[in-house]
Amino acid sequence: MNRPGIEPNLAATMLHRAQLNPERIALIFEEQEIKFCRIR
Amino acid sequence: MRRLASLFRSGGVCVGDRVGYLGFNHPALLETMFAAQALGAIFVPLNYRLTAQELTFIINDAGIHTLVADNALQPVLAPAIPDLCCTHYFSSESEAAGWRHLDTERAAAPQLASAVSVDQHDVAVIMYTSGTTGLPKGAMLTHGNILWNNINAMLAFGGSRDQVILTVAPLFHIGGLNVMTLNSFHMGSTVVLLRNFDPARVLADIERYKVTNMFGAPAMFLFMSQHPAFATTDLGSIESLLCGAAPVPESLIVLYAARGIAFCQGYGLTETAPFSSFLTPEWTGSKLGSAGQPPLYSATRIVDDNNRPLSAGERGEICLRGPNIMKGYWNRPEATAAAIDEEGWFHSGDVGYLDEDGFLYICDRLKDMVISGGENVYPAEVEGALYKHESIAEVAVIGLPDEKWGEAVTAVVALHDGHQLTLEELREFAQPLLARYKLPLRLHIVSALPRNPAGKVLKFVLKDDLQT
Repeated sequence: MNRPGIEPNLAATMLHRAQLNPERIALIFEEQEIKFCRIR
Repeated sequence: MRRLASLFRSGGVCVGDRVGYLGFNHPALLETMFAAQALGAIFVPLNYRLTAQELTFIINDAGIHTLVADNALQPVLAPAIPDLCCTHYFSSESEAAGWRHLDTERAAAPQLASAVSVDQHDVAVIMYTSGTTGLPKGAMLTHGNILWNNINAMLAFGGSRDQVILTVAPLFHIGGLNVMTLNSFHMGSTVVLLRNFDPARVLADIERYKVTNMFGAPAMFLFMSQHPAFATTDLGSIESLLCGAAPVPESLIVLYAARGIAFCQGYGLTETAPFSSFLTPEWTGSKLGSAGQPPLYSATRIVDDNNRPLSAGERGEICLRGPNIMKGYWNRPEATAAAIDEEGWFHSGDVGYLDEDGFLYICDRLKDMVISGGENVYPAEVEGALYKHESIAEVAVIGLPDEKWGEAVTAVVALHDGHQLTLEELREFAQPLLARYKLPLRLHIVSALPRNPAGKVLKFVLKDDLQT
């Protein structure tokens, strides 16, 4: 059976998300907008 | 994240090491967490309301290798540093004497090539929760626990990348970190992060950023509703508010319903990462008072004292099972064995029942735990501190209903002959020993505590007496 190797590391998930949505705003903190690409 | 991970790695952080963060809500907390996890290390968020003494215990118990703290919390920790086990100390905001500066050193660090591969059963976060025995225990939450919690939450509430989440609950709590915040990162939506709770700021940011969802304790939503700006703030973007930590009073549900805003309610614990039940808006009216239904990938049952399942309507201990249940307590195999039985059911210590439709109703919070302003206060811990006062012969700590805080930490005290004690004196005495939210708000002096034949204090008698 094919068992896909999903990487459960939360940090790896974040890096993957940052690739998928680089220009989206991930976080707003005290007027500062932080895009997903900056998380990388 | 890659540069910060590289910086930690150069300081010696390896797979399984612990990296701590002490501070108010800030992007640096999340960056520290992801950077640690990228190395396969374990993140330990620390409660900024604790005293130096309490923090010392937790930091050394967890064996934190590298600690990051913001400027506001560095003075709290300063007297304890000689007693701490940490190898490196980083200041997350401005430069500070004796602390390495995170931003400066990160900017100079190379990028980590890739995150370490982990198993879903590897620990991602250790989150400390006060125990009934008085000593905090570290709940080990795995990468899989957090992933499955987020899947459960998305399947219950839905979610989209267009959502704007407001996080003001402290990120050192499971509620602040993993009810909506990490879920939002998974989803790819936006988090508006506030350093701490200020009702005016929350209302202003809801309107400014068109916030769609927010998690909070009932006390937060109460304070928001009492603020003069509540009536004039545009809350039209809100899809739902999610409430946890304590049941939402009906008056609050009605108040927000008048603005067209529904509450979702949830029940969960740090050990369950946290979602164990959801009450979605369509059930808020017909199942008023219920904590809702179990998530899709999780199960709930009620058992008697002999761990036998009970029927609908029968009260017993709430037990929970699923991929969201913690791995165990850090370095506490006995406590883990006591909490998770051989079949994998986590025993919550909370008392409740399931109705005929499978909706959970909670009757008593973790034995005698007090929930004040959304914070769990464990009487045994407070009693242990108060017993050190020379005037106190015996003391019992209970929670009494309080309009502002939900429950007020109440000390019922019997004094030694010839002694006197005021609430102010008691709070002043306990201030160095306990976090502020654990300090008694009320003091009742009695001649002796009511006890059963075995000597156990009958707290329900005290509660009944003091409420009437």
